[in-house]
Amino acid sequence: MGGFARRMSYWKAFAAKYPSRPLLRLDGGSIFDKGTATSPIANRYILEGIYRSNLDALGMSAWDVPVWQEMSDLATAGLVSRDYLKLPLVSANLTAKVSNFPTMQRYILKEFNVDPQAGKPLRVGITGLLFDPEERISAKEFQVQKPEEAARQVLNELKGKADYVIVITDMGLGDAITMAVEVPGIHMIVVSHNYEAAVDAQQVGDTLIVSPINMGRMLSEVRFNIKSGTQRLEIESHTVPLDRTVPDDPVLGELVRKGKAEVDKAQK
Amino acid sequence: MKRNCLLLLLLCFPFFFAAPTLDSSGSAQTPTPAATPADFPAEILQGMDNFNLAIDVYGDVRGNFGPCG
Repeated sequence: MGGFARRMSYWKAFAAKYPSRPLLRLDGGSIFDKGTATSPIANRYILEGIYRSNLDALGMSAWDVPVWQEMSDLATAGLVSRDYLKLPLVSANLTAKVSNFPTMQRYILKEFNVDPQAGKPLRVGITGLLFDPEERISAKEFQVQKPEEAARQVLNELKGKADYVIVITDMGLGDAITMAVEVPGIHMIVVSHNYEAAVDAQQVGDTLIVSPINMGRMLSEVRFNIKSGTQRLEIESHTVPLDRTVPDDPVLGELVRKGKAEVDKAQK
Repeated sequence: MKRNCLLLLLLCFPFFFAAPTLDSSGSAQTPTPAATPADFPAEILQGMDNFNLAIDVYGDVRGNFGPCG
C-alpha cells in the first residue's frame, strides 16, 4: 500500500472533484531509507518523488538529517538536481552549522479565503519540531533545541500572523499528547509515524493530533468547515487507504518503477 | 514409468513452489497490474461534503516510496 504515485493520483482526483476547495499537503518526514546497501539509490528516487509531490510543508526525522546532507553533497557534485532540494522543509528547533544542508524555514504561512463573510483570509502557520531524544544528530554539525522550548518560541513568533498553527513532528503519540497539554496554542500536531496502532485523530484540549499510517500506507485527511476565523469549526477526519485499487499517477508511477528496477538490479 | 513421473515431478517442483517476488523493502508481494485512472475508486474521496479547507497528512514513506503490496 501507499507510495508517491498513488498519493499523487488521489490528490489529482481530489482536485477534480473539489476544484474550488483548498487542500494543504503536509508530509511529516521520515522520508529516507537508511542502513541498507541500496539506500543511496532509493533515496535519490525518494528525493525526486518528494520534489514532484508539490508539498506545502515537509518535516524531518533524526534519520533524515544525515541523508539530507548526502543529498546536498550529491547536488553539489551534480549527481542530483539542485532544484530537488528546493523544498518547503520546516523546523523550529534544528539549526545547521554546516553548509551542506538544504534551506529550512522556521515556519511557513499560508492564507485561504475559506469564508467570504469573514472578510479576511484564514492564516495557517506550519512549523516543524525535530525529535532526537537519543541524540543521534551530531552536535558538532547541528544544534537541536528542546522541542517544548522551541514550540513556545515559535508560537510567540506566530502571534498575530497565524490563526491556525500546525506542528509537524516525528515524536511518538504519547510525547505529542504531552506537548499538546504543556504547550497551549497549537491547533494541530501531525505525528509523522506511529508504530503502536492505527488511531483516529484525537482532540487533546484545543489540539487535534493526527497521525497518518506508518510507511506511508495511508493518508490521513482532515476536513474543516470554518466560519468566522477559527471560532466556529466543524471537523471531520478519516484515513485514505492507498491500496492497489488506486491507480498510479503516470509521472510518479514511472519514477517509482525506475527506482524499484534500479534497486532490484543492485540487489542481484 | 515411476522413474519418469518422479523426474517430471522434480522438474516441475520449482514452478509449483516459486517464491513470491520481493519488493525493495524486502517484503513479499504479488505483482498486480496497476489500476487505470478510469478505475479510480470514487468512494475514497467521500467524507464531509460541506468543507472549505482540507489538510492531508502523510509520513514515514522511507523504503515504501513505491507501494509494498
